[in-house]
Amino acid sequence: METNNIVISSRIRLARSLKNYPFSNNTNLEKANDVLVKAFNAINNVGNFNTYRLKNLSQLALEEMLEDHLISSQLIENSDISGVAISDDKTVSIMVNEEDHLREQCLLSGLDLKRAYDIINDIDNELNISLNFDYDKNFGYLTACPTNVGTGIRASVMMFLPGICLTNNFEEMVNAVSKLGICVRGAYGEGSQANGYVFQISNQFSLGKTEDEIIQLVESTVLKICDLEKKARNNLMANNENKLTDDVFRAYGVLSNCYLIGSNEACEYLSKLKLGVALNIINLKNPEIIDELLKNISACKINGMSGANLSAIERDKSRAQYLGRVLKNMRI
Amino acid sequence: MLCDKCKKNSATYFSTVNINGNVTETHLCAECASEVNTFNFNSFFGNSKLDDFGFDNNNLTCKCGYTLSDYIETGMLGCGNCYNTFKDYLVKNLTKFQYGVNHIGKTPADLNENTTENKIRMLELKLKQAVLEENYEEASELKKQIINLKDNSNGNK
Repeated sequence: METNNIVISSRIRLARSLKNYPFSNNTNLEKANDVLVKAFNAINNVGNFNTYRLKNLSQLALEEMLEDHLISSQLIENSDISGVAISDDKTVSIMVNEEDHLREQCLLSGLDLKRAYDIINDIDNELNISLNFDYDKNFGYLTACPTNVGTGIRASVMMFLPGICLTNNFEEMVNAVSKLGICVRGAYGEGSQANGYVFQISNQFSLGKTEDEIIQLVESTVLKICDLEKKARNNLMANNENKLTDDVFRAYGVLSNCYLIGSNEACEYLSKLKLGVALNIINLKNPEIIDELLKNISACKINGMSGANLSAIERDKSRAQYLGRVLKNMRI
Repeated sequence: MLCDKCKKNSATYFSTVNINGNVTETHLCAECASEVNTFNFNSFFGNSKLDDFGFDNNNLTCKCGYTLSDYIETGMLGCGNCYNTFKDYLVKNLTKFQYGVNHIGKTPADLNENTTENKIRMLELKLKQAVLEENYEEASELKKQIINLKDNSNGNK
Protein backbone atom coordinates (compact mmCIF):
# COMPACT_ATOMS: atom_id res chain seq x y z
CA MET A 1 0.00 0.00 0.00
CA GLU A 2 1.19 3.51 -0.80
CA THR A 3 2.05 5.18 2.51
CA ASN A 4 3.76 8.30 1.11
CA ASN A 5 2.45 11.57 2.53
CA ILE A 6 1.06 9.70 5.55
CA VAL A 7 3.91 7.76 7.20
CA ILE A 8 6.85 9.97 8.14
CA SER A 9 9.26 7.65 9.94
CA SER A 10 9.68 4.35 11.80
CA ARG A 11 11.53 3.80 15.04
CA ILE A 12 12.48 0.72 17.05
CA ARG A 13 13.65 1.19 20.62
CA LEU A 14 15.06 -1.55 22.89
CA ALA A 15 15.29 -0.97 26.65
CA ARG A 16 18.12 -2.78 28.47
CA SER A 17 19.50 -2.76 32.01
CA LEU A 18 22.90 -3.87 33.28
CA LYS A 19 22.95 -6.66 35.85
CA ASN A 20 23.96 -5.76 39.43
CA TYR A 21 23.30 -2.03 39.05
CA PRO A 22 20.25 -0.23 40.46
CA PHE A 23 17.95 1.41 37.92
CA SER A 24 18.58 5.09 37.07
CA ASN A 25 15.77 6.27 39.37
CA ASN A 26 17.43 4.57 42.36
CA THR A 27 21.15 5.05 41.71
CA ASN A 28 23.98 7.29 42.90
CA LEU A 29 26.60 9.25 40.94
CA GLU A 30 29.31 6.61 41.33
CA LYS A 31 27.20 3.69 40.13
CA ALA A 32 25.63 5.73 37.33
CA ASN A 33 29.09 6.76 36.18
CA ASP A 34 30.17 3.11 36.16
CA VAL A 35 27.21 2.27 33.92
CA LEU A 36 28.05 5.17 31.60
CA VAL A 37 31.72 4.19 31.26
CA LYS A 38 30.90 0.50 30.67
CA ALA A 39 28.23 1.37 28.13
CA PHE A 40 30.42 3.85 26.20
CA ASN A 41 33.31 1.34 26.09
CA ALA A 42 31.01 -1.37 24.73
CA ILE A 43 29.45 1.03 22.20
CA ASN A 44 32.86 2.18 20.94
CA ASN A 45 33.77 -1.46 20.30
CA VAL A 46 30.65 -2.01 18.24
CA GLY A 47 30.93 0.72 15.63
CA ASN A 48 31.45 4.35 14.73
CA PHE A 49 29.53 6.36 17.26
CA ASN A 50 30.01 9.87 18.58
CA THR A 51 29.58 9.75 22.35
CA TYR A 52 28.54 12.71 24.49
CA ARG A 53 27.95 13.26 28.20
CA LEU A 54 24.86 15.44 28.39
CA LYS A 55 26.27 17.72 31.07
CA ASN A 56 28.97 18.80 28.57
CA LEU A 57 26.50 19.84 25.85
CA SER A 58 25.02 23.32 25.35
CA GLN A 59 21.30 23.95 25.73
CA LEU A 60 21.09 24.56 21.99
CA ALA A 61 22.76 21.23 21.15
CA LEU A 62 20.42 19.41 23.54
CA GLU A 63 17.32 21.01 22.02
CA GLU A 64 18.47 20.13 18.50
CA MET A 65 19.07 16.50 19.48
CA LEU A 66 15.65 16.39 21.16
CA GLU A 67 13.93 17.74 18.06
CA ASP A 68 15.78 15.22 15.90
CA HIS A 69 14.47 12.46 18.23
CA LEU A 70 18.04 11.42 19.06
CA ILE A 71 17.50 11.97 22.78
CA SER A 72 14.45 12.23 25.07
CA SER A 73 13.42 14.87 27.58
CA GLN A 74 13.99 12.26 30.32
CA LEU A 75 17.64 11.96 29.26
CA ILE A 76 18.01 15.77 29.58
CA GLU A 77 16.39 15.62 33.04
CA ASN A 78 19.07 13.06 34.02
CA SER A 79 21.88 15.14 32.46
CA ASP A 80 24.17 14.87 35.52
CA ILE A 81 24.47 11.11 34.89
CA SER A 82 23.35 10.59 31.30
CA GLY A 83 25.04 10.26 27.94
CA VAL A 84 24.25 9.48 24.34
CA ALA A 85 26.01 7.71 21.48
CA ILE A 86 24.96 8.72 17.97
CA SER A 87 25.92 6.97 14.74
CA ASP A 88 27.53 9.05 11.96
CA ASP A 89 24.37 8.95 9.82
CA LYS A 90 22.21 9.74 12.88
CA THR A 91 19.93 6.74 12.29
CA VAL A 92 21.03 5.01 15.50
CA SER A 93 21.26 6.55 18.95
CA ILE A 94 21.92 4.84 22.25
CA MET A 95 20.85 6.75 25.34
CA VAL A 96 22.63 5.83 28.56
CA ASN A 97 21.11 6.34 32.02
CA GLU A 98 17.74 7.39 30.72
CA GLU A 99 14.82 5.66 32.50
CA ASP A 100 16.73 2.44 31.75
CA HIS A 101 20.51 2.04 31.62
CA LEU A 102 20.38 1.68 27.85
CA ARG A 103 17.79 2.82 25.35
CA GLU A 104 18.99 1.66 21.94
CA GLN A 105 17.04 3.05 19.00
CA CYS A 106 17.04 3.11 15.21
CA LEU A 107 15.05 5.73 13.32
CA LEU A 108 14.43 5.35 9.57
CA SER A 109 12.24 7.34 7.21
CA GLY A 110 9.00 5.85 5.84
CA LEU A 111 7.40 2.59 6.99
CA ASP A 112 10.47 0.44 7.63
CA LEU A 113 10.08 -1.16 11.07
CA LYS A 114 11.57 -4.53 10.15
CA ARG A 115 14.80 -3.03 8.80
CA ALA A 116 15.02 -0.72 11.82
CA TYR A 117 14.69 -3.78 14.08
CA ASP A 118 17.35 -5.72 12.17
CA ILE A 119 19.80 -2.83 12.52
CA ILE A 120 19.24 -2.26 16.24
CA ASN A 121 19.03 -5.99 17.00
CA ASP A 122 22.50 -6.55 15.49
CA ILE A 123 23.87 -3.72 17.63
CA ASP A 124 22.09 -5.12 20.70
CA ASN A 125 23.68 -8.55 20.10
CA GLU A 126 27.11 -7.02 19.79
CA LEU A 127 26.66 -4.92 22.93
CA ASN A 128 25.59 -8.07 24.76
CA ILE A 129 29.07 -9.54 24.19
CA SER A 130 30.64 -7.10 26.63
CA LEU A 131 27.61 -5.95 28.64
CA ASN A 132 25.77 -8.27 30.99
CA PHE A 133 22.09 -7.43 30.42
CA ASP A 134 19.70 -8.01 33.29
CA TYR A 135 17.43 -10.81 32.14
CA ASP A 136 14.95 -13.13 33.82
CA LYS A 137 13.69 -16.28 32.14
CA ASN A 138 10.08 -15.46 33.05
CA PHE A 139 10.00 -11.67 32.79
CA GLY A 140 12.55 -11.29 29.98
CA TYR A 141 14.71 -8.15 29.79
CA LEU A 142 14.21 -6.27 33.06
CA THR A 143 13.39 -2.56 32.91
CA ALA A 144 12.80 0.19 35.49
CA CYS A 145 9.14 0.45 34.53
CA PRO A 146 7.30 -2.85 34.05
CA THR A 147 5.42 -1.33 31.09
CA ASN A 148 8.63 -2.00 29.09
CA VAL A 149 9.65 -5.38 30.54
CA GLY A 150 9.99 -8.53 28.42
CA THR A 151 11.17 -7.67 24.95
CA GLY A 152 11.92 -4.07 25.98
CA ILE A 153 10.71 -3.11 22.52
CA ARG A 154 8.78 -0.04 21.46
CA ALA A 155 7.98 -0.03 17.74
CA SER A 156 6.63 3.36 16.76
CA VAL A 157 5.62 4.98 13.53
CA MET A 158 5.22 8.72 13.06
CA MET A 159 2.14 9.53 10.98
CA PHE A 160 0.69 12.69 9.41
CA LEU A 161 -3.08 12.42 9.91
CA PRO A 162 -4.83 15.67 8.89
CA GLY A 163 -7.70 13.87 7.14
CA ILE A 164 -8.70 11.84 10.22
CA CYS A 165 -8.41 14.95 12.43
CA LEU A 166 -10.29 17.35 10.13
CA THR A 167 -13.15 14.87 9.62
CA ASN A 168 -13.43 14.50 13.44
CA ASN A 169 -12.62 10.78 13.35
CA PHE A 170 -9.53 10.97 15.53
CA GLU A 171 -11.06 9.92 18.85
CA GLU A 172 -12.87 6.99 17.25
CA MET A 173 -9.64 5.82 15.62
CA VAL A 174 -7.71 6.06 18.92
CA ASN A 175 -10.39 4.02 20.72
CA ALA A 176 -10.41 1.37 18.01
CA VAL A 177 -6.62 0.89 17.91
CA SER A 178 -6.27 0.94 21.72
CA LYS A 179 -8.35 -2.26 21.80
CA LEU A 180 -5.66 -3.89 19.66
CA GLY A 181 -2.93 -2.90 22.15
CA ILE A 182 -1.78 0.18 20.25
CA CYS A 183 -1.10 3.65 21.74
CA VAL A 184 -1.44 6.96 19.94
CA ARG A 185 0.74 9.76 21.30
CA GLY A 186 2.07 13.18 20.32
CA ALA A 187 5.14 13.39 18.08
CA TYR A 188 7.64 13.44 20.97
CA GLY A 189 6.29 10.36 22.79
CA GLU A 190 4.67 9.94 26.16
CA GLY A 191 3.01 13.10 27.46
CA SER A 192 3.84 15.21 24.40
CA GLN A 193 1.32 17.26 22.47
CA ALA A 194 0.24 16.54 18.92
CA ASN A 195 1.82 19.06 16.60
CA GLY A 196 0.72 19.71 13.02
CA TYR A 197 -1.46 16.57 12.86
CA VAL A 198 1.61 14.40 13.54
CA PHE A 199 1.17 11.40 15.85
CA GLN A 200 3.21 8.46 17.07
CA ILE A 201 1.58 5.03 16.79
CA SER A 202 3.22 2.37 18.97
CA ASN A 203 2.74 -0.93 20.79
CA GLN A 204 1.38 -0.94 24.32
CA PHE A 205 2.54 -4.45 25.24
CA SER A 206 6.17 -5.47 25.51
CA LEU A 207 5.63 -8.76 27.38
CA GLY A 208 3.81 -11.89 26.21
CA LYS A 209 4.46 -11.43 22.49
CA THR A 210 7.61 -11.83 20.41
CA GLU A 211 9.42 -8.90 18.82
CA ASP A 212 8.23 -10.03 15.37
CA GLU A 213 4.61 -10.25 16.52
CA ILE A 214 4.78 -6.76 18.05
CA ILE A 215 6.31 -5.28 14.89
CA GLN A 216 3.70 -7.05 12.78
CA LEU A 217 0.88 -5.70 14.98
CA VAL A 218 2.13 -2.10 14.74
CA GLU A 219 2.75 -2.35 11.00
CA SER A 220 -0.66 -3.83 10.21
CA THR A 221 -2.37 -1.18 12.38
CA VAL A 222 -0.42 1.58 10.63
CA LEU A 223 -1.59 0.24 7.26
CA LYS A 224 -5.20 0.26 8.48
CA ILE A 225 -4.79 3.86 9.70
CA CYS A 226 -3.28 4.79 6.30
CA ASP A 227 -6.38 3.38 4.65
CA LEU A 228 -8.63 5.42 6.99
CA GLU A 229 -6.58 8.56 6.37
CA LYS A 230 -6.88 8.17 2.59
CA LYS A 231 -10.64 7.72 2.85
CA ALA A 232 -10.89 10.76 5.14
CA ARG A 233 -8.84 12.88 2.68
CA ASN A 234 -11.08 11.77 -0.20
CA ASN A 235 -14.15 12.68 1.86
CA LEU A 236 -12.67 16.09 2.62
CA MET A 237 -12.09 16.71 -1.08
CA ALA A 238 -15.55 15.45 -2.04
CA ASN A 239 -17.41 17.54 0.53
CA ASN A 240 -15.22 20.58 1.17
CA GLU A 241 -13.03 21.04 -1.91
CA ASN A 242 -13.49 24.82 -2.18
CA LYS A 243 -12.89 25.47 1.51
CA LEU A 244 -9.90 23.13 1.59
CA THR A 245 -8.38 24.72 -1.54
CA ASP A 246 -8.83 28.16 -0.02
CA ASP A 247 -7.16 27.02 3.24
CA VAL A 248 -4.17 25.60 1.34
CA PHE A 249 -3.62 28.71 -0.79
CA ARG A 250 -4.07 30.98 2.22
CA ALA A 251 -1.44 28.90 4.05
CA TYR A 252 0.95 29.27 1.09
CA GLY A 253 0.18 33.00 0.92
CA VAL A 254 0.90 33.61 4.61
CA LEU A 255 4.05 31.44 4.67
CA SER A 256 5.58 33.15 1.62
CA ASN A 257 4.62 36.73 2.50
CA CYS A 258 4.38 37.23 6.25
CA TYR A 259 6.75 39.51 8.15
CA LEU A 260 6.51 37.81 11.58
CA ILE A 261 5.44 34.24 12.36
CA GLY A 262 5.58 32.05 15.50
CA SER A 263 6.55 28.37 15.35
CA ASN A 264 3.03 27.07 16.16
CA GLU A 265 1.40 29.19 13.47
CA ALA A 266 4.09 28.23 10.96
CA CYS A 267 3.60 24.55 11.83
CA GLU A 268 -0.16 24.84 11.34
CA TYR A 269 0.20 26.48 7.89
CA LEU A 270 2.97 24.10 6.78
CA SER A 271 0.76 21.16 7.75
CA LYS A 272 -2.08 22.57 5.62
CA LEU A 273 0.35 23.10 2.75
CA LYS A 274 1.56 19.51 3.14
CA LEU A 275 -2.03 18.27 2.95
CA GLY A 276 -2.58 20.47 -0.14
CA VAL A 277 0.42 18.86 -1.85
CA ALA A 278 -0.77 15.36 -0.92
CA LEU A 279 -4.19 16.09 -2.46
CA ASN A 280 -2.72 17.77 -5.57
CA ILE A 281 -4.42 21.05 -4.67
CA ILE A 282 -1.09 22.83 -5.02
CA ASN A 283 2.07 21.77 -6.83
CA LEU A 284 5.51 22.66 -5.53
CA LYS A 285 8.82 22.25 -7.37
CA ASN A 286 10.24 20.37 -4.39
CA PRO A 287 7.39 19.04 -2.21
CA GLU A 288 9.80 17.32 0.22
CA ILE A 289 10.93 20.78 1.31
CA ILE A 290 7.87 21.03 3.59
CA ASP A 291 9.18 18.30 5.92
CA GLU A 292 12.53 20.06 6.07
CA LEU A 293 10.83 23.38 6.86
CA LEU A 294 8.76 21.72 9.60
CA LYS A 295 12.00 20.50 11.20
CA ASN A 296 13.71 23.89 10.88
CA ILE A 297 11.13 26.34 12.23
CA SER A 298 11.60 25.66 15.95
CA ALA A 299 13.10 28.40 18.13
CA CYS A 300 16.39 26.57 18.59
CA LYS A 301 16.83 25.78 14.88
CA ILE A 302 16.13 29.43 13.95
CA ASN A 303 18.63 30.57 16.59
CA GLY A 304 21.12 28.02 15.27
CA MET A 305 20.67 29.24 11.68
CA SER A 306 21.22 32.87 12.62
CA GLY A 307 24.15 31.96 14.88
CA ALA A 308 22.77 34.14 17.68
CA ASN A 309 20.40 33.93 20.61
CA LEU A 310 17.57 36.03 19.15
CA SER A 311 14.74 37.68 21.08
CA ALA A 312 11.24 36.24 20.48
CA ILE A 313 10.28 38.99 18.03
CA GLU A 314 13.58 38.79 16.13
CA ARG A 315 13.12 35.05 15.90
CA ASP A 316 9.60 35.41 14.45
CA LYS A 317 11.03 37.84 11.88
CA SER A 318 13.92 35.54 11.04
CA ARG A 319 11.54 32.57 10.71
CA ALA A 320 9.24 34.54 8.38
CA GLN A 321 12.21 35.59 6.22
CA TYR A 322 13.45 31.99 6.03
CA LEU A 323 10.04 30.62 5.03
CA GLY A 324 9.50 33.41 2.49
CA ARG A 325 12.94 32.86 0.96
CA VAL A 326 12.38 29.12 0.51
CA LEU A 327 8.73 29.12 -0.53
CA LYS A 328 8.31 32.25 -2.66
CA ASN A 329 9.23 30.77 -6.04
CA MET A 330 8.43 27.19 -5.14
CA ARG A 331 4.95 27.03 -6.71
CA ILE A 332 4.59 25.49 -10.16
CA MET B 1 0.30 3.35 30.38
CA LEU B 2 -0.43 7.02 31.04
CA CYS B 3 -2.81 8.31 33.70
CA ASP B 4 -6.32 8.89 32.26
CA LYS B 5 -6.64 12.16 34.17
CA CYS B 6 -3.36 14.13 33.95
CA LYS B 7 -2.02 12.26 30.85
CA LYS B 8 1.51 12.83 32.21
CA ASN B 9 2.47 10.25 34.86
CA SER B 10 2.46 6.47 34.56
CA ALA B 11 -0.80 4.93 35.75
CA THR B 12 -0.37 2.70 38.79
CA TYR B 13 -3.95 2.58 40.09
CA PHE B 14 -6.32 0.49 38.04
CA SER B 15 -10.00 0.07 38.78
CA THR B 16 -12.72 -1.77 36.95
CA VAL B 17 -16.34 -0.90 37.68
CA ASN B 18 -19.10 -3.13 36.36
CA ILE B 19 -22.57 -1.60 36.55
CA ASN B 20 -25.23 -3.83 35.00
CA GLY B 21 -22.72 -5.18 32.51
CA ASN B 22 -21.29 -1.74 31.57
CA VAL B 23 -17.62 -2.13 32.37
CA THR B 24 -15.58 1.05 32.93
CA GLU B 25 -11.83 0.83 33.39
CA THR B 26 -9.92 3.68 35.04
CA HIS B 27 -6.14 4.05 35.07
CA LEU B 28 -4.70 6.77 37.34
CA CYS B 29 -1.33 7.86 38.71
CA ALA B 30 -0.88 8.04 42.48
CA GLU B 31 -1.36 11.82 42.56
CA CYS B 32 -4.60 11.85 40.60
CA ALA B 33 -5.90 8.76 42.37
CA SER B 34 -5.59 10.58 45.69
CA GLU B 35 -7.58 13.53 44.30
CA VAL B 36 -10.44 11.46 42.93
CA ASN B 37 -13.34 11.57 45.34
CA THR B 38 -14.51 7.97 45.11
CA PHE B 39 -14.97 5.15 47.57
CA ASN B 40 -11.52 4.30 48.86
CA PHE B 41 -11.06 0.66 49.82
CA ASN B 42 -7.88 1.36 51.80
CA SER B 43 -9.31 4.21 53.85
CA PHE B 44 -12.37 2.07 54.62
CA PHE B 45 -10.05 -0.37 56.38
CA GLY B 46 -8.20 2.39 58.24
CA ASN B 47 -4.41 1.98 58.20
CA SER B 48 -4.28 -1.54 56.83
CA LYS B 49 -2.34 -0.49 53.68
CA LEU B 50 -3.89 -3.35 51.78
CA ASP B 51 -3.94 -2.74 48.04
CA ASP B 52 -6.50 -4.12 45.65
CA PHE B 53 -4.70 -7.49 45.44
CA GLY B 54 -4.63 -7.88 49.20
CA PHE B 55 -0.86 -7.46 49.64
CA ASP B 56 0.63 -5.95 52.78
CA ASN B 57 2.94 -3.28 51.35
CA ASN B 58 4.96 -2.64 54.48
CA ASN B 59 6.63 -6.04 54.69
CA LEU B 60 8.03 -6.17 51.18
CA THR B 61 11.35 -4.43 50.73
CA CYS B 62 13.95 -5.27 48.09
CA LYS B 63 17.66 -5.32 48.95
CA CYS B 64 18.03 -2.13 46.88
CA GLY B 65 15.80 -0.33 49.39
CA TYR B 66 12.72 -0.14 47.20
CA THR B 67 9.43 -1.14 48.78
CA LEU B 68 6.27 -2.42 47.18
CA SER B 69 4.66 0.87 48.26
CA ASP B 70 7.31 2.72 46.21
CA TYR B 71 6.28 0.73 43.15
CA ILE B 72 2.58 1.28 43.74
CA GLU B 73 3.19 5.03 44.24
CA THR B 74 5.53 5.64 41.30
CA GLY B 75 5.09 2.74 38.86
CA MET B 76 8.87 2.28 38.91
CA LEU B 77 11.09 -0.47 40.35
CA GLY B 78 14.48 0.10 42.00
CA CYS B 79 16.57 -2.69 40.49
CA GLY B 80 16.35 -5.96 38.57
CA ASN B 81 16.02 -7.91 41.81
CA CYS B 82 12.74 -6.07 42.59
CA TYR B 83 11.11 -8.29 39.95
CA ASN B 84 11.92 -11.29 42.13
CA THR B 85 11.09 -9.61 45.46
CA PHE B 86 7.68 -8.36 44.26
CA LYS B 87 7.06 -11.27 41.89
CA ASP B 88 3.69 -12.34 43.31
CA TYR B 89 2.33 -8.81 43.12
CA LEU B 90 3.84 -8.09 39.69
CA VAL B 91 2.43 -11.24 38.09
CA LYS B 92 -1.08 -10.01 38.97
CA ASN B 93 -0.35 -6.35 38.24
CA LEU B 94 1.26 -6.99 34.82
CA THR B 95 -1.93 -8.52 33.45
CA LYS B 96 -3.46 -5.02 33.66
CA PHE B 97 -1.16 -3.53 31.06
CA GLN B 98 0.79 -6.36 29.41
CA TYR B 99 -0.34 -9.04 26.97
CA GLY B 100 0.90 -11.84 29.21
CA VAL B 101 3.20 -12.44 32.16
CA ASN B 102 5.75 -14.68 30.46
CA HIS B 103 8.46 -13.53 28.09
CA ILE B 104 8.45 -15.37 24.77
CA GLY B 105 10.72 -13.09 22.76
CA LYS B 106 14.44 -12.81 22.21
CA THR B 107 16.79 -14.13 24.87
CA PRO B 108 20.49 -13.38 25.40
CA ALA B 109 20.95 -17.15 24.96
CA ASP B 110 19.98 -16.85 21.28
CA LEU B 111 23.42 -15.42 20.76
CA ASN B 112 24.99 -18.41 22.48
CA GLU B 113 23.32 -21.03 20.29
CA ASN B 114 25.97 -23.51 19.37
CA THR B 115 26.11 -22.87 15.62
CA THR B 116 29.34 -22.35 13.69
CA GLU B 117 28.03 -19.06 12.38
CA ASN B 118 27.43 -17.79 15.93
CA LYS B 119 30.80 -19.04 17.10
CA ILE B 120 32.54 -17.16 14.27
CA ARG B 121 30.52 -14.04 15.02
CA MET B 122 31.41 -14.14 18.71
CA LEU B 123 35.08 -14.71 17.96
CA GLU B 124 35.12 -11.83 15.45
CA LEU B 125 33.63 -9.51 18.05
CA LYS B 126 36.16 -10.65 20.63
CA LEU B 127 38.92 -10.12 18.06
CA LYS B 128 37.73 -6.56 17.44
CA GLN B 129 37.79 -5.90 21.16
CA ALA B 130 41.24 -7.48 21.61
CA VAL B 131 42.67 -5.28 18.82
CA LEU B 132 41.12 -2.17 20.37
CA GLU B 133 42.69 -3.12 23.71
CA GLU B 134 45.99 -3.72 21.89
CA ASN B 135 46.02 -7.29 23.20
CA TYR B 136 47.74 -8.65 20.09
CA GLU B 137 48.63 -12.08 21.48
CA GLU B 138 44.98 -12.85 22.17
CA ALA B 139 44.00 -11.28 18.83
CA SER B 140 46.37 -13.58 16.96
CA GLU B 141 44.98 -16.65 18.78
CA LEU B 142 41.40 -15.57 18.01
CA LYS B 143 42.27 -15.02 14.37
CA LYS B 144 43.60 -18.60 14.10
CA GLN B 145 40.41 -19.97 15.66
CA ILE B 146 38.27 -17.98 13.20
CA ILE B 147 40.27 -19.22 10.18
CA ASN B 148 39.98 -22.83 11.44
CA LEU B 149 36.23 -22.57 11.95
CA LYS B 150 35.74 -20.98 8.52
CA ASP B 151 37.89 -23.66 6.83
CA ASN B 152 35.94 -26.45 8.56
CA SER B 153 32.65 -24.85 7.67
CA ASN B 154 33.68 -24.51 3.98
CA GLY B 155 34.96 -28.08 3.98
CA ASN B 156 31.57 -29.35 5.18
CA LYS B 157 29.69 -27.65 2.36
